[in-house]
Parts: sequence; C-alpha cells; structure tokens
Amino acid sequence: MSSEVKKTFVVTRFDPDRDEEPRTDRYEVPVQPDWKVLDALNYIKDEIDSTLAHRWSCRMAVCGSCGMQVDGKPKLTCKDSLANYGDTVTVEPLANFPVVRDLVVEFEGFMEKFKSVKPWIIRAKERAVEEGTHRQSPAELEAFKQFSMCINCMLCYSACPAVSNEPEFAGPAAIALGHRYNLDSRDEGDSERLAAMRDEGFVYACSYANECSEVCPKNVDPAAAVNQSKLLATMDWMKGLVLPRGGK
Amino acid sequence: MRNPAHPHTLRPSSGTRTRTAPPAFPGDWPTANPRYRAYLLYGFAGLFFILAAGVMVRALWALGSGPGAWETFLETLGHPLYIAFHVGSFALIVWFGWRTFFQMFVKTQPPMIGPFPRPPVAVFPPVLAAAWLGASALLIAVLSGAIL
Ligand code: FES
Repeated sequence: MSSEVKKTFVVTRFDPDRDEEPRTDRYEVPVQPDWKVLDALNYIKDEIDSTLAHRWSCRMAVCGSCGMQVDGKPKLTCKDSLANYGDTVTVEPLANFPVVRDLVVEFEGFMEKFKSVKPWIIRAKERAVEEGTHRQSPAELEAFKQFSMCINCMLCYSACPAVSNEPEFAGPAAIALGHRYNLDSRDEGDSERLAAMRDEGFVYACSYANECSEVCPKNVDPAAAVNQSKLLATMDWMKGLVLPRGGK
Repeated sequence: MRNPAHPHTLRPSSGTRTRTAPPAFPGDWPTANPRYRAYLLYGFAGLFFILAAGVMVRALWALGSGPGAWETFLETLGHPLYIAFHVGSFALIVWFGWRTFFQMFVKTQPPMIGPFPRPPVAVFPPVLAAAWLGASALLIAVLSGAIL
C-alpha cells in the first residue's frame, strides 16, 4: 500500500532563448515516503512538464551529476530524502555557477581550474616497464585515500563564499585533488604543484568558512585539504629559502 | 532571485557556447547560516584588532609624553565606551584564538607529522586547551609578580 502525500515543488526555470533571467514554476507532486528529491524531479519531467532540464545519471551518489540547491542548501538530489522537507520544496541550480538551462549549470570554468592543479602522477623520471609497477603500502594509500573520494559533484563550490567573491579562486575540489596527488607516495610533483598553489587565487584565497566540508556528501573534507596545502605550500617556500637548491 | 555572485565566478575563460544566467550567491548567504556568520565575524575581527592596536600606540605615546599624559590616558580608559570596547575586544580575541587554534590549526595537520602518523583529530582540542591554559597561567603568574 502506498501512502501518497502531495508536496509543492518550486523549481527554478531558465530558457536562454526566451527568458531574460531565471523564474520559478510550481508543481504539485504526489510523493512516496521513500522518494529522494530526484524522484520528484523525474516525476515532474515524466508526468507534468517534459521541458524541465536537470542532470542525473547513476542515482546512487557516485557520478556527481545531480547536485542542486534544495531549500537553499547544496545537495545530491539522488541521496537527499524528501522526508527531510516540508510541504513546499524549493529546487534551484547550484549556486556560484552560470546556469545553462533550468537546473543545469555550466561546468567548463571548473574544468579549467581542475587542470591547473595537474591532477596526475608526475615522475622526475618515468619507470621502465621491466622495473615493474609502483608499489604502495596500505599506510601510504591511507595518507591520501580520503581526498581521492571526490565525485566532482560541485556542492563544495556552490557553498563556498570565496568562490562567490573571487572568480580566480581555484576552489575546494580542485585543491583537494591537487593535495591528493601531493600526498601520493608514487608522485614526485609536489613542489611543482605547491608552487602553483602559492599563486594568487589558490590556497591563500581560502579564509576558512568550512562550508565545503559541511556540504560534501562523500566526507572528503576539502577544507582540510586546502588548509593542509596552505601549510605544505608555506613550508615548501621556506625550504626553498633556507636549503641549498630548495632542498632538492 | 538570489543575490548575484561575482559575474565572472566559474565562467570559462573562453566565451560560452550558449547564453547563461549569471551565478548567484548561496541562498543562505550571508547571515542565515551560522558558518557564514562565523566566517564574516572572523574577517570583521581584524577591524577590532586594528583599533586595539591604535589604543596601544596611544598608550605608548602617552608613556613617552611624561607622567601627566600617562595619568590622563589611564583616566580616559575608565570611560564606559573604552570599557565596552575592551570587553568586546577581549571576547573577540578569545573567540578568534579558539577558532584559529581549535578549528583551523587542527585542519592544517597533515596525515603524517614528520615520521609519525597524525594522532586522531579528537586528540588535538584537549591538548591545545591544556597548552593554552598552561601558557595563560604562566603569563598571569609572571605579570602578577608571583614568579620571576
Ligand atoms: S545521480 Fe549520480 S550522484 Fe546523483
């Protein structure tokens, strides 16, 4: 037996060909008790208004594509239960991103920031194939594993006031990814990355609101990554001052 | 519509293929979220500390201008506005120190501290609190003349 209740969804709509600026539409949706916010959006799309645009894919908090503001907070809508909300639920596109259409935001600006941290393993000299694979102990893996759990859902960017104010800020997820490689025992590119991280718009542009870590659905703790990177970037700079050839 | 964020926030450096609506601030910015309030207060505290530094400069000036000027300065410190300012500054610096050392400092600790793995994060606040209380007690003892 299904116990159906109705909720009103106030959804942001924006059609770049028609609308000067975003507006809202209201939809009455008969919801099931076990529904997530995404189920209601899919119901609207399938049964009420097929013109609604929103992104999703895996429905299991893995692909990171369904991030939106729900009642003003950035959420993964496939993970966020409707039972947490009242009779009226507001759904908006992620804050801090340009909006392409309705609930779909533009990610290209983020992709550029992403590349700036060189998110790949850098080796001074490539290992010959006959030398075998790089081995890593469980303890070495543990050192960076938490920071590798990011699914690029962008909730941290939408929550960060430094991102709102400083367009050049690389932002939490990109810095967390750079930090993940800096902590990887197979990587030798930390000085290169830390030098980039000392630039304007990188780690020192964060003044610790910690909201990124609060909203992260995978407990990556990007605020820790950014603040640890501040310390490592500063120590790397000091090492360059006091040690011959920067300690290399 | 929420407050607009900086118009270039997260825009691609090359032109976009389609017209986009400008980015907006988070809905609970700036005061509806306690962490945003703390973030703003942390920045605002700097203003208070500049004013407190100004009072310090004034004290040094009075000290250098002779006993009369010093006495007058001490009298002005008894003014209710000065007392309110100093009580406010004290409260703010305690909160500022707590946020810096008990929240941010803990976050800055890398997974390995030298050759040792970082202790559990929960260990830091009591150790820091003990260090803070110890340092404060030492300072009070020195200033009151109980030791040295
Ligand atoms: S649909 Fe993949 S994370 Fe939500």
